[in-house]
Amino acid sequence: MTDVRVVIPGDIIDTTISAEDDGAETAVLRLGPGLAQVGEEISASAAGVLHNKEETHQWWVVSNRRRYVAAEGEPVVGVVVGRHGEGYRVDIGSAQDALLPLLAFEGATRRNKPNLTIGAVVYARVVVANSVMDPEIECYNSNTGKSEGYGELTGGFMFKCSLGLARHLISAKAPVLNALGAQIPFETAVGVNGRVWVNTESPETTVLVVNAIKNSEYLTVKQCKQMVRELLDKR
Amino acid sequence: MTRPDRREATQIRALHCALGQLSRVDGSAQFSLGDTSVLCGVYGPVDVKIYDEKLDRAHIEVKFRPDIGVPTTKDKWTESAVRQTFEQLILGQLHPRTLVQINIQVRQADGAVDAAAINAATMALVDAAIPLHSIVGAATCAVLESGAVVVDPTQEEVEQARSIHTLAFENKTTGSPAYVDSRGDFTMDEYNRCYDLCATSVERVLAFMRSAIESKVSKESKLSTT
Amino acid sequence: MSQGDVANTGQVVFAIEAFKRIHPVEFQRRFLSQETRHNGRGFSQFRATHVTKGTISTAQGSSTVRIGNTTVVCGIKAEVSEPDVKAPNEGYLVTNVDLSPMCSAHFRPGAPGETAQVSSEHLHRLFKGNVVDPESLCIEAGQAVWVLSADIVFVKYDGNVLDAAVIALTAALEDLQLPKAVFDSETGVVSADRTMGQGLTLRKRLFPATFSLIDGVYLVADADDAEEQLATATVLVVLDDNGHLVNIWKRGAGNISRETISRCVDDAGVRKATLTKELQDNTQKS
Repeated sequence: MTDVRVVIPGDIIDTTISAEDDGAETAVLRLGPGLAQVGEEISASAAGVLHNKEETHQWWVVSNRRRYVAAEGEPVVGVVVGRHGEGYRVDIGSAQDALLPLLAFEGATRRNKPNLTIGAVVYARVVVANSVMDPEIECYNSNTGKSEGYGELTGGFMFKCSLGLARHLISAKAPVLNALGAQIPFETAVGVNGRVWVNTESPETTVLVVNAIKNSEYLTVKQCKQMVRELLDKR
Repeated sequence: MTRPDRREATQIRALHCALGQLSRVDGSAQFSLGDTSVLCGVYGPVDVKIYDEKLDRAHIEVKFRPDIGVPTTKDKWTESAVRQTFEQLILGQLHPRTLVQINIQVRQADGAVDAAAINAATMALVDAAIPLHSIVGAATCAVLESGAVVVDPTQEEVEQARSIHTLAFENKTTGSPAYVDSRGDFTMDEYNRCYDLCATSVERVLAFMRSAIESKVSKESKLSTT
Repeated sequence: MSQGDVANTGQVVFAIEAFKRIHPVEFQRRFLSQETRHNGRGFSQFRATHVTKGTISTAQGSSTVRIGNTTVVCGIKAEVSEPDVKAPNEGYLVTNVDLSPMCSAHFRPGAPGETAQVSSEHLHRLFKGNVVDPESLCIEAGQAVWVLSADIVFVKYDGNVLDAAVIALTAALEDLQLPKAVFDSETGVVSADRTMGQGLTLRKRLFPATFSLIDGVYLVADADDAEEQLATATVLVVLDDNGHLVNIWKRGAGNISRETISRCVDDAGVRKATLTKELQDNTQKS
């Protein structure tokens, strides 16, 4: 992408498909988050940066927000807030609490299943998310039966951040995590619902990592490295 | 004619807007027109009470608190006016069975409070990334005893005015106002003059809103662009 | 129509009442697209309005207003009170709109709902100062003033709260007879002589007209309850005796252009003429 276009709600977006592609089978316009069709026109519904992929005619707006809206397949960090016959109720920050079935864990059977207490932190994947049902999450991949890193997160510390920062951290090229990882060992689980779990050998280091991540939100790569270095030096 | 604060009749007061100042809400904005300042915090989409739940769209709730004292029926009136302005502006069908709560707190009142409240609510909704059809801006005009029309009146001018006109326009649809509240004793001619003046002032407000949103977005997307 | 016909044409036949309930928007649209309304009125036609003054003998001023199937009773009680220290020679006008479950199933018992509160407040904004001069309610500056408590009670509700309430309050204020009050500066007591009533001089009378936008396209005057349920936007226009505007209040979504609003003002002028006649014809029936 060469130039960055910032859109605000109500902006009309010209998504005209170029002439040579027109009529071809691939010429289907795909609208992602932040865009809506109003009559014949496509208009932005959120403020953010407009992105598009020429080849697939995909358009979407990347915007930051603080409130999570569940979407299928996304990894989330949640807190168990209740338990009933079928499963746990987990707060993942969305409008309604998510349901985590008792057997949605690796190797769980009717006889042998994990026992989570209220307040436990779990790393899970959203499997059901639609407007008519409460979201449902699970702590394993139901196709392979393996946990794939999901499950209860013991120890450590969980904090909240904006969804934009969480998305950035999860994209694996976050400079703050790389810079920290080069100096000190730590474990982290990032949910796209704006919740991050961090665990290190000592509480002091955990606090340092949490602060570094929180500070990194509006910093460039260079500023980020500088900030991490300063924090580590102060230790 | 000179105004108490030496402004031109067609000149609005200094605009100021700060986004995301409140840390515990999903989106917030402070919007000021000179000495009138309004703070707005938005939650949404959040869990809704069973009684308010709508199966096909989000429920929208507005809470308006005055600068002095507890809310009265006066504030209920404003709540209703603001809610009806935003009800169709918010794409509520994208988040059925949820609640979008708009909390408005007047910090300082010096005329044109309703307009400032509508502007603050728009900015807070944008900050919370609630899906919107478009953005809306509002402005107030007053017709003074002398028959002169002034825009964005202060409280002093409001008290001397023969009629007060608050109009809101969407960014998209020019020529049809989203909200009109004209009260007092006025003629159709005076109404039309206020309409024109409000429309041009709202254009300025909307342009200001756009630049405020753009600077917020570019600050947030710094990481991804470098 | 036999079963076979239904299958062949793909049409489903409803009883009209069922259609109205199942798909109210489509039901109204069928009429509106034909330039008519389900109640037989034209788009800019108001319902017949009847005003009767002095319907409650125990109140100082009263009226009953019927707009089609909407019936409202307004009673004004005058009481003596101390003025506010900030405005020692101004009396009060207190408006209270009551929409109880008696008048329609839309309203719930208990504390006043939003419609009632907003209407009360809007009436107060329209009448205070504009219609009733607060200083004309002064008995003795800084000592005693009149408090006019106007209760606007809906008996039957079929749409258009504000029009009905504004007309009822205007009529009741015209009907108002304030007892002659004398303030005794030695005892600090106000004595009122009920036999010597005098009317209150109103600055102006108000003539309202409400228009509702249905389905985003059709603008209808004086919507009834069924139409009001589907309205996305409403415009209230209030005129005074001189034909000056007192209020233009457009709420809700929907594009109502500037031209449409000026057309509403013209229609409100036509209605004003009929209302003026109605208010004059029915003076002092009791």
